[in-house]
Amino acid sequence: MTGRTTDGVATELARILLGAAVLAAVVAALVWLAGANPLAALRALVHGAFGERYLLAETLVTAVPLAIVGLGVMPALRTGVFTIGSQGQLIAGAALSTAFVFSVPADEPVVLLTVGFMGGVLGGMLYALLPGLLRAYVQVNEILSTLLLNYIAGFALIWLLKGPLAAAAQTATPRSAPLPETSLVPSLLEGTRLHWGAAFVVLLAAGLMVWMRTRSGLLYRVFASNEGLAARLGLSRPRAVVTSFLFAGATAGLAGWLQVAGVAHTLYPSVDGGLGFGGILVAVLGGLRPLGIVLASLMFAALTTGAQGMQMGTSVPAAIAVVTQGLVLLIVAIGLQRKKRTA
Amino acid sequence: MLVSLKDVDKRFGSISALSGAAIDLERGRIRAIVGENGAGKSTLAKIIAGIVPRDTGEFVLDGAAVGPWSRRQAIAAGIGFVPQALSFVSTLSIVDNHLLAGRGLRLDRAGALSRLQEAAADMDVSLDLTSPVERLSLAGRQLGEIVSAVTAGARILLLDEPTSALGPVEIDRLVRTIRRLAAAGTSVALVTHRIAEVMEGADSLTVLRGGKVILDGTTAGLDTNEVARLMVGDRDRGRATRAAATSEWRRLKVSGLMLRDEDQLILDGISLEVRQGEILAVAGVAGVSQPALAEALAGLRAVNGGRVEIDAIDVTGDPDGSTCLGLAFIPENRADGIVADLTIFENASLFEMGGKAFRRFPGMRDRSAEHDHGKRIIADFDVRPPDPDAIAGGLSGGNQQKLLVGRELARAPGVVVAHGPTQGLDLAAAATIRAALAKAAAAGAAVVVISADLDELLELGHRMIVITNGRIVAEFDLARPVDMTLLGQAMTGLNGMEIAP
Repeated sequence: MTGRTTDGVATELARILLGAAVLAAVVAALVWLAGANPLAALRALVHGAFGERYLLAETLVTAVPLAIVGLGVMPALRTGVFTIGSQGQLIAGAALSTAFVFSVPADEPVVLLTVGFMGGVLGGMLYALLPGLLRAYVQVNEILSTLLLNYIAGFALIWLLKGPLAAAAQTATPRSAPLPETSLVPSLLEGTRLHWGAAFVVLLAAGLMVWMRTRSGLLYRVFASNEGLAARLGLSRPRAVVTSFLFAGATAGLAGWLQVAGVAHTLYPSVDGGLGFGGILVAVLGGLRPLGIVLASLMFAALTTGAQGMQMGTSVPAAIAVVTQGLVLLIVAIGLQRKKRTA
Repeated sequence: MLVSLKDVDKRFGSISALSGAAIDLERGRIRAIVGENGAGKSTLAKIIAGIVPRDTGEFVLDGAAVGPWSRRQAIAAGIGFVPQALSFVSTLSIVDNHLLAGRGLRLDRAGALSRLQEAAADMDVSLDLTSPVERLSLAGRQLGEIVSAVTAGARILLLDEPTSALGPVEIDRLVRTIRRLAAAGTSVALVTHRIAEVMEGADSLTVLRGGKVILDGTTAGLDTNEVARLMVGDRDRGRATRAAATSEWRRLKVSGLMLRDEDQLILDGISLEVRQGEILAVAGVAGVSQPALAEALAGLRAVNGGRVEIDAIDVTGDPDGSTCLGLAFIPENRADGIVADLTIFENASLFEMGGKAFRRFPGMRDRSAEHDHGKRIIADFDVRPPDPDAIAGGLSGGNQQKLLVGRELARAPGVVVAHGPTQGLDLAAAATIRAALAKAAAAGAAVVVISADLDELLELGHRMIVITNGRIVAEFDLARPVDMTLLGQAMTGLNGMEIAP
């Protein structure tokens, strides 16, 4: 038994190393084609992501919402509910928390932070409830419904920012008025944009690690492959599907509130900024395990911020980060396929 | 001699599946390959079909020795294979499945249809070739696979456990079809663990035990009992003891169950009662009604009318409530009862998990308690390998079934619904499971056994009902000798009328 496990770890490690080598070779070739020395570019990338206190904080600022969204969709994906609606839920959470903060006539940070948090979670949950109910009771394909709801959320946000939530002052792009100082998530690291929202990542990851070891965690796994058996064990389809959706929505909405109240301090049209999809990718990349998801979001974030540094230091465009992220996914997907076949 | 294998060895890891096996297949002859589960009969067929490579041994095809043997080469040589778990895509028709298995870029649907029709007509089979396969009965799918293989040019046809899920009427039809094919020159190998049907269908017989050929000969003049003895070796078969059902407590009560699928009536007013300690045997030609009844009893299938009550509490369409009232359910398809990617001990303790004796904190699992429970079931039901940490999906079908039955019956159930509980199992394992069902009844459960295996029902049941076209057409008290003529009429639906018990 133990022999089999260590054997599994060894092949797993070899697989990861092989994937990393392929990735490094392809990216190095692209950098070289762009006219830069791959080693120098790598140095610039690492520096851009971790080199200074501020840069490291920026990497974490990007990683936090990715990790929260990724951890949030983890149970759904494990359950076999393929929600890709995190983008819309994040927008709904951001919008509702902003509306809540502006409509509460209080000035104490405790009240405003609670209200903002509630708005984010509630907004995300409400926006996830519709596709959840549709999937649970009328078998509407959740991939399609959540994808389309993302568009609706995006346009609704623009309408909100041009109407009910528009800033009083004229702005070049539609945006809300700046959030009151007392409603902002406090800074975690002086002089950077890193905020206390990072604590949610730790809480969520730890909570999910515990959950996976509970009876409930196992039942959702049973549901993924064996609906009837799960129903006999007390987990019906409506419950499995709707709770998965609600959890994904709540966390995406939470990330939305944090982007507004922790980072931008205002609601703006591109509040999602690819975080919704990025989070789902990170969840898959992290092997649907909490630690893996946290690591994967750190890596994705480091690539994004590091590429900015690389663009400044060398002639390589920052878009290389997106290319690299795509390549990582492709390699992981191939790896998963092969694993399935050899299993 | 079309095919001749000699001295074939095959190992899977540390397990020897075949050692020194030999077999000959002749043109126009039917050979049965019989043996218990794990005797190596499927492996032998799969080696001929090019699905499993042999380790060592001689393989002669049409008088010429062949080297490494792939499925593609086997197809080109005209070797058709119909697996036990049928291979058709259920949402496609037989024609489309046939095209799917073929090669070439252009799909000639009309041509394929007419070739299939022709083959079906030659075999004297009438089949719906253009509707999705999922609408066909299991027997229909099986015939479809055979027709498809023959159309694809199979001159050697390997059938792996073709009768395991069929009722007597369907088995008759299958045997007739195979005989017709053989008469037209096809060589047929029939892998099975049911001896009776083999003896009348086959010309020659190979008996395997533990990967070795125990007997190779013609079926003429062979004694069925002798073959059965050879298959199991000198092992005590053990018989389930029948406890008398004396209680008047009706633990399971079903009234007026109706289920409609489009215009077909799958369940047409099924009413029955099962008392404490009683085993009700449900017979009938395998079809859509039996799985529907089993699932409806377990609350897993929504019905159009009627009630299911356990201990006088309505649990219609409520699988969770049924579980709480002590329902054990053994589904027809064991994949519905076992989670393939969980370990044996997790599968074994799904129902106990998180319960009082199985947790340290509310909601948290106690793995060591689960482990102990898994070990108990492994020991009681002889699950192999006896490793609670083994992944359930890696077990053989028979061992998965033992694990499944062990888990369900370990809960001291009040009501047991078992559908084909010993399907595809070897004699020893089947005996273990039948004994466990009898024990559950003796311990106070109301037991419903639905099976296509009449011998099993007659052995286990106190009472038997026959379901045809969704209705109960006959009832027999098994304490008295059963009029087999009446039973046969009920099973075949010959008189189409209700038969008095």
